[in-house]
Amino acid sequence: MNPTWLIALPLGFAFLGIFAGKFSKAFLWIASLANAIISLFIFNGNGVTSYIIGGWIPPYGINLVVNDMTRVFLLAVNLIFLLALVATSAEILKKDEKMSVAFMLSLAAINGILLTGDLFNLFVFLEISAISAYIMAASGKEAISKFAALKYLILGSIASSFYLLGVIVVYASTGTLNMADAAAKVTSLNPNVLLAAGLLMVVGLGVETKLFPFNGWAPDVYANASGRGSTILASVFPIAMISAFIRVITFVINSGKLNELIIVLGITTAIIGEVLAFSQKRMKKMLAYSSIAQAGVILMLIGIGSSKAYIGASMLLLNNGFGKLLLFSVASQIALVAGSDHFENVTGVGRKSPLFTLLFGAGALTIVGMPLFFGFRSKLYVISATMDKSLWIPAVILITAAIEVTYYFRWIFNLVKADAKLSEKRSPVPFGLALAGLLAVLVVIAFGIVPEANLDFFNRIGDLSIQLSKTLMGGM
Amino acid sequence: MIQYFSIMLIAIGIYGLLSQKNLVKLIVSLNIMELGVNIFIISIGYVADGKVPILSPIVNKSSMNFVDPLPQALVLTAIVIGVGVTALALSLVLKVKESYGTIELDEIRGDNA
Amino acid sequence: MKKAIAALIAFLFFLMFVNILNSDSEEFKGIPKFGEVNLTERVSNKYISKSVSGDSGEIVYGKTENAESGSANMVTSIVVNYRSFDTLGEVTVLFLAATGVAILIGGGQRKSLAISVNPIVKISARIIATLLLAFGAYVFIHGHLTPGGGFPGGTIIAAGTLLMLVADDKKRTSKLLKILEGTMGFLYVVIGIAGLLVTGSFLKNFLPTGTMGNLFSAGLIPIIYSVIGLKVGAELSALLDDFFAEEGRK
Repeated sequence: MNPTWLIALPLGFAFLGIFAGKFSKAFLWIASLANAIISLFIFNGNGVTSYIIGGWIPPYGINLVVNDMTRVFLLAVNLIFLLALVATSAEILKKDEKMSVAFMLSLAAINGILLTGDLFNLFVFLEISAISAYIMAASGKEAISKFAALKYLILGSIASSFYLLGVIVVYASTGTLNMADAAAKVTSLNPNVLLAAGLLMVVGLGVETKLFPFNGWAPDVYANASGRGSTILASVFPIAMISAFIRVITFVINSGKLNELIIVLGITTAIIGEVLAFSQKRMKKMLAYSSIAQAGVILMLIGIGSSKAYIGASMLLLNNGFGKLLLFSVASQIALVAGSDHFENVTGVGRKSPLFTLLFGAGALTIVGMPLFFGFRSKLYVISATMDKSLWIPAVILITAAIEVTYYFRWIFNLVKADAKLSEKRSPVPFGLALAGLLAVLVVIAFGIVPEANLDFFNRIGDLSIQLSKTLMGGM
Repeated sequence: MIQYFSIMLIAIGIYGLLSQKNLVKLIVSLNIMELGVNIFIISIGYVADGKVPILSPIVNKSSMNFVDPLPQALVLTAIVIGVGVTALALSLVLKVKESYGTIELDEIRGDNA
Repeated sequence: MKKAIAALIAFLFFLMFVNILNSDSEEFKGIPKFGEVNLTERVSNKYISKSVSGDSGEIVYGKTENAESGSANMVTSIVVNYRSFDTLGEVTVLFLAATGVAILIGGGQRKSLAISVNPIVKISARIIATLLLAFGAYVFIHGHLTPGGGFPGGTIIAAGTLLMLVADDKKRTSKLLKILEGTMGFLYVVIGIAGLLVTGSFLKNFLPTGTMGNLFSAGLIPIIYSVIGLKVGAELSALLDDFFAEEGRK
């Protein structure tokens, strides 16, 4: 199945949706459902395939590259997107017909980021996803969401200018925009030029992947966006952005000094994120800092760059995707029920509606890495993968996990604590949230308990990520 | 020389983004920076004595000395993206002004706390 | 203090960048000196000679027939042919930004002007706007032969709309614009999918490219550029209209 459909379908529906009035919401469902099915077909395969666009062979034309890492990510992204839509289907947004258009375009852009094999084409898709992210960030009810979106927009635009500058430096010195071609040619580059281009691109992609010190936008945006917006921003976007980071920074630039820098920044991000998450008084802000910390660990693994580290990073990414899908959709609903998501306000909400506790708890447990959950398997793998690099990296991961366990359990206990102030009335859980939530819980538990052999596709990620780097990616 | 000027423009934009407190001034700084980036992109495609990359009855053979057309195509995309982002940023500023009554960063932050 | 740090960072950026300029040497490749670019080392060399799918000899204006990309304007042939996928994305960015503006501030009533407008101004604005519309159409239809194309053409059309909006305080742009905008975008995707179904490659040209330099040449390029021109014109007009609208007062 040609993966171009994954981009063309939501794009076409989005263009129709702008004047279709009420139908645009239906289009959003059709597009995301179709994408989930198509990605399932693409998942059934292996090896590296290149699909050319416009009939021009790379490096002259643009191509889409599907490899084993992309296959896993494509399926995860389209599935989580669909589940996020189901989970937040009860929410009514302002001007939701036009918002549906923005959601469809974000879906197209995310698939484009995962697939494209061209540096400049990646810039275009990053811009589409970034602008749809600004719109999602501004979709909250409070005025502060607009201000948060504006801050995000300014940071994001600086970032994309830097990324563009990096691409241009690569083009000026190697004469190509194709990733595989550039990766083969940068080896003969002046090391200073390569480092400068790499730094520019790390800044550019660092904003979107929430790398410290470029992540100042994230807490306000995640905490104040609408339920659907924040769920998609926190669960789907990181997968695409990290994938772009892997393709550009490690496959194309691949400079040793830069990788060391990314390891250091990644660890800093993780520690700062966990410490700040510990002290938060608002549920969604705590989740936002936890997302930052997760991104830090994943980026650190990418900096290490061994095949085991890639497998660990992909596992953590998927775990984070499903976990944050649960946590953010439940937190948004709780904020709606309790009036706000402050620590005191949500006390006892989970006692009234046990399903909230179940979904939130499952999400939290898989993020912190409790046994029986996917998080446990991925964290165990990550620790064994980083062991050979140096012993203090697994130590840092364990310490951050310990902080994580403390604050997540504090919030779970707070949810089920008896509170006299609350009225006796039970607050019903919307059907969509219950359905999508239970499905996501099933997925994280299934990934946690099935035998290793059934998760072979993760091992394939590692096998290929090494040979990918130089020649195969362009499919020339 | 023009390359140094374009980099200077980017640096001025960065200075503005880091030092200004007014939201509209921030967006103007962003535009200055994008302008610098665009001029730099064009400048890397310049070939000494190169012709405009359009075939016409006078410049009629593809073997002539042309400037690099690819950066010009890229800059077209970059300009359009810049326009879109600026329009969205200005409408967000309008919304912020509507709800906070000010576009100075310090005063908005003061309101929050 | 903050300004000093800001200046320092900007200066460091400047130094870093100046350091890597003119770094092309015998030993290592780098950014070449201004004006001393060797095009044969770049992919654009094949865009100029139009020989990506195989060498077809020298391209001569007015003579060459059925070149792989039939546009005399090389920038156009890159924008709408070799890298058409980027342009689809670019159109989408503008579309998304216009949608975002409509979500944030659109939908209200027209803000009325503080002064009343003289009828002479109104009528001459209408005449000039019509001329701008015609000129915009000329620019995007001839995008494969002359400088210009869909984006400049669309912008010229939007300039006409801006003139109308400023000169006439009752004027609203029509709801038809949204339909035009959406249909044109959809048409672009449909052209792409048609390429996928006919030739097996998304956005591939499946029409004959004709003689270089003719108005009816270059296959899909003039069609796509007209689509883009109409779309950009409609989009920017709707965007301007949204900026003239006041939120909340229906």
